[in-house]
Amino acid sequence: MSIEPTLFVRITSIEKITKQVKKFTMSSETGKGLPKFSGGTHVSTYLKTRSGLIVRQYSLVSHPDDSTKYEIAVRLSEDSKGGSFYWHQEMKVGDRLQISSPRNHFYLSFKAKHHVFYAAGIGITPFLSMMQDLSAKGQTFELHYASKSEDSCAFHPYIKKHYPIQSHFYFSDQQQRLQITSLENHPIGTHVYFCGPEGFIEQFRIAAGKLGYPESSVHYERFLPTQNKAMKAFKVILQNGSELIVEEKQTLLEVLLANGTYIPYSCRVGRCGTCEIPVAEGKIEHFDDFLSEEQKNEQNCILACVSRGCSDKLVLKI
Amino acid sequence: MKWTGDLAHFPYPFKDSTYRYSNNSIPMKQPLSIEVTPSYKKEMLLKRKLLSDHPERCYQSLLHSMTGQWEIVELVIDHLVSKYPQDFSVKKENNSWIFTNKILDEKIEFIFGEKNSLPCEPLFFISQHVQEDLIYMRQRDDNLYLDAGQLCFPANWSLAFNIGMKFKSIHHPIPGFKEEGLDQRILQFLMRLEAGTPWERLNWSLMAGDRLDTSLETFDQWGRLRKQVTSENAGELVHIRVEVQKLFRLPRTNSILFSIHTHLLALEQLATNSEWVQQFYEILSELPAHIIEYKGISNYKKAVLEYLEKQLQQVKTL
Amino acid sequence: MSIEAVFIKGKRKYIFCSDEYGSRVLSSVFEHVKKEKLAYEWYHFSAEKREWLEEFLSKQKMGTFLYVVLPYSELYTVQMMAKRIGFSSDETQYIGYGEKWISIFCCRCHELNRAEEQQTELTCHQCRLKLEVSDHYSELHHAFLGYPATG
Repeated sequence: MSIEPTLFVRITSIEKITKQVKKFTMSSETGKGLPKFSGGTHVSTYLKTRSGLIVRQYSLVSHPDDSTKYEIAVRLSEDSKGGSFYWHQEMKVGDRLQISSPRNHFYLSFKAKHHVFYAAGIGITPFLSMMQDLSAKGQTFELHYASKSEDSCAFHPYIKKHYPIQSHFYFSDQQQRLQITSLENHPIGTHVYFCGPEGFIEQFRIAAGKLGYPESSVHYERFLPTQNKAMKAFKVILQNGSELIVEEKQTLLEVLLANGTYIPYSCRVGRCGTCEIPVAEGKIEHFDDFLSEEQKNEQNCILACVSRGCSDKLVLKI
Repeated sequence: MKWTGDLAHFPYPFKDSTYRYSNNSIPMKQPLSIEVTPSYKKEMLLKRKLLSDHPERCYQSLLHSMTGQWEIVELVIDHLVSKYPQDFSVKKENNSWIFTNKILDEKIEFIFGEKNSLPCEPLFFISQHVQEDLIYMRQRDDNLYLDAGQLCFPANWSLAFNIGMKFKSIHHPIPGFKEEGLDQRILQFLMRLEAGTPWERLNWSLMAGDRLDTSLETFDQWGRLRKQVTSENAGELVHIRVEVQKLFRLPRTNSILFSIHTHLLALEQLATNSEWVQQFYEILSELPAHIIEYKGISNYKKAVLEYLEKQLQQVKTL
Repeated sequence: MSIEAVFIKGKRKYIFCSDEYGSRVLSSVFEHVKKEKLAYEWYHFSAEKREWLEEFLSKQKMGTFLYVVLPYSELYTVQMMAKRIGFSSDETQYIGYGEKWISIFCCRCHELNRAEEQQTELTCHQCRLKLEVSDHYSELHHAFLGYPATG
């Protein structure tokens, strides 16, 4: 039910930290402090643009204990659907916006004896608050951070200053490459965390699996849902008999909401499980990271935000 | 001490004419973890006596729960002050807090976040000011653990035994809970609970007697009353026990506060509402054996049904 | 705890830790590992050399799988040690043999009572309450809950 953005904030400063990345600082509009958060937390931002509401998730890069402000870092992406473009081109100091309460789907393992972070590009952002949490608790960690160049490496000076021993940088313009073989050297009890482009995550995830890492020791965060290589349109039938078509570029959630069929939803990336709908009939292709393998195989529920039908039609129990 | 229930504040728990275990949680309209009822003073007296006479039974915590305990202090004080400003106030200067409880005429000064500034642990301290039992469920890896709790009014369970236990293990003794897959779904539901969107649910049982402190530790003292119920004395002796359970995500530690407010009402008071009697009679007649057994009603179900039948006949003849 | 060792595929290294009796329990998994030419190491356990085991286990890398077969009297200590080092339940199999004692947590006074595995009732040696042994288990107390005996 947590669809509603719950915090009102105002942009208090904008800082360009690399050619493509800007850091935005926001503070509470109500005068009440912002909630503290845990390492790896993100917020959803709700941008009211001329072409409609744009909802985007960003990791908080400020200190978890600092309730006076939140900071996010936004990279201007070439194929921006409007989110990062809006942040970079339109957002000004003093602008107001609504954001969600802090949410953490990418949290630190409690039982880990050692934490290793693998970041590529802007994938560094969730690790900043995680490293702050760990250093406050005196726990051991290391960071492996790949970037095109030193110039384009967001937070490079900050990380080098605060975590000189723990951090390792790999700049491709200097022919340095972050290799998956790095995974071979971690002591038992290590948990690894991956964040970056889809291909980067997949490469490390597969390598960790091949080495025999248990799934429970491998963590990763995708900011966008897994892309179905060939997204096809499909039909759903509701209990009231109405039939709806989900076009290839739409999600089931979008179609239901546009149709006035309200269902609770939250993260929109297949992570929180809020938009789960029971399914009576039809084959489901699951793209979420919420349901277990077993639950997916049962073929009796669907997360409307990312998953799709792969038979002619899905009969929904709503 | 005679416990006369308070009809005006009684959270009547039934919607339908049948009852099964389910995750009957709903989003809270007023996001408050606590409620002050007219029996506040009396219950605080009882609670404090239990806490000082039986600390091990009523209070347990693991070392790593400290940050979470402070989060609970902040949340509960916030709620007390905003809902009951005439009874509670707080003055914050940086980390120096002065908390005033006007009902009990007490003023407590402490440094927020500093354990030594209080004579006891933070959770122990704040629980002496609220009628609710407060349970801290820590998210560790992909599970929830009972890592701290203050429990004076349990419905026949032992905090001392359950401390440090996983969510599913805690609920292991409930028959049918695991078989129906409810434990997994509710765990998944709790794991996706988000800050800013608290939920609540009601739980009920019957008991012979009017004790709030029906701990497993004292079963030999209160359990024997179950054998003394007759259709003549059921109205006075048997009480319906309702727990208002509230769930809050604590964002700093990514954990969960579970607050339990227990209400008792004698069947004869319940009987003042003829719709309630009718509905409760239907529910109890239809209740499956495993639920009857777990709720401890087996010994006196027949006597209660007879009592309710009598009440229903009286209504009809009026 | 399983009775029979099960081969878990896809690990870069296997460790077998047992005494002489235990090595027989592990033989089929061991044969499998040898046949597939997978990396392995044996650790012949003796209670006197427990610190060596700790050092040995601490040196292992991620991707290692640990099999332990020992008498129940030793097993729990080794299990706790491996957990402390960082071996999770997904990276281990523990098999106990021999006489097994369990602890029963008294629901009234919280005292831990020693009982035989098959025992269903006992009297708490501290508060004298008659207890019925349940299957409700606490990892933290390493004990089963004893409820008030009915009847």
